[in-house]
Amino acid sequence: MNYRIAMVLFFIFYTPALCGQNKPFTFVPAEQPLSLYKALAYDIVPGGGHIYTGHYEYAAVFATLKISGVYAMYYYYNYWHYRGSLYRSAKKANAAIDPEHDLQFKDPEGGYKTVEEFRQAYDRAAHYFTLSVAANVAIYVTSWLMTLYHVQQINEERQPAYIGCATHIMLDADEYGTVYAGYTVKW
Amino acid sequence: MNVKNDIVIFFLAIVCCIGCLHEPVDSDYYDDLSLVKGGEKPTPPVDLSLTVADHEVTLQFYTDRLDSGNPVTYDPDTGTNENLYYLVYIASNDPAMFGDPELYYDIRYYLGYVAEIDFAAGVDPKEVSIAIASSYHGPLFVWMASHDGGRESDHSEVVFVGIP
Repeated sequence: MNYRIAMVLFFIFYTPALCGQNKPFTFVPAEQPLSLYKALAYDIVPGGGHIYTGHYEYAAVFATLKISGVYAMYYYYNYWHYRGSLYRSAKKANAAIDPEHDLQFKDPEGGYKTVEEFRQAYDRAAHYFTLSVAANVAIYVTSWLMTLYHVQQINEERQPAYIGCATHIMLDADEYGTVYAGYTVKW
Repeated sequence: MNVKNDIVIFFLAIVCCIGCLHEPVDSDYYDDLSLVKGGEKPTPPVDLSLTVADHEVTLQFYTDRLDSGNPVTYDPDTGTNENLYYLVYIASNDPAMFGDPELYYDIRYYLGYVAEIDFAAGVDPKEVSIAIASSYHGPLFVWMASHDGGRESDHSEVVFVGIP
């Protein structure tokens, strides 16, 4: 058999089989991609971003961390403020009672402290507050990065997919009687 | 609607500012002497005198003197001097020249201490011997203060002796 005729027959019979269906295009619907901005905005609420992406175990962990972190920040802010007022009160009293001596004042947390020791405790409280702020920032950034990663992962699976083909078989012959065949396939 | 939001934000800002300004402990919290270790400060030893012999200085001081029936050297919190320590300070330069009165109690001039209970009851004047390096020649200024375990008294008078 002339191979050209064989090719023509191949195109004629096999192309529709390749396409699988006779529909010119087949659209495979995908789920809507997640909004990254929405996910990050929801993540301001403890666990919100992870609930939005459907990662409930991450939501539980980060919600616990964030609530603890915010409470720690609140606690250490008050503690810093409290140590500051103790220091200022002791400093004022030392200057008023006996400015030539370093008096020791009763610390509500136990023992006695000089004004200098109250100042050191005030500084320590400021460090605790700074650390709690840094810890909160670290927790929020980690949570946002995890949310970002999950959103990207989910959206990668939700890329819109198009499966289709369009076939157009052309048969033609020249003045010598040679038959030509051509076809196009589109995706 | 925007005006209402502005009002809410304005009041929240005021509440926030008041929260920041509030002092958890009143500024006069420590003006109470019961919160000061030692309470009232004691009074110092009196009538100090120095004698020198062969680079050994003897300091004499009184702690059991009475003034109108009341002890001169005592702790107002206990009414006695039994719990007192007597601190000795020494300097080669005149403390009257100190620019800062806190230097009277500075560690660099502190020599040591004796306790009231180190002496037999009723012994007055009390004596303390101070050995001076044989290489030292010149003036010596000595003063004392009492300590009740919490607070230090004002300093005593300053006495002077020349080491030949």
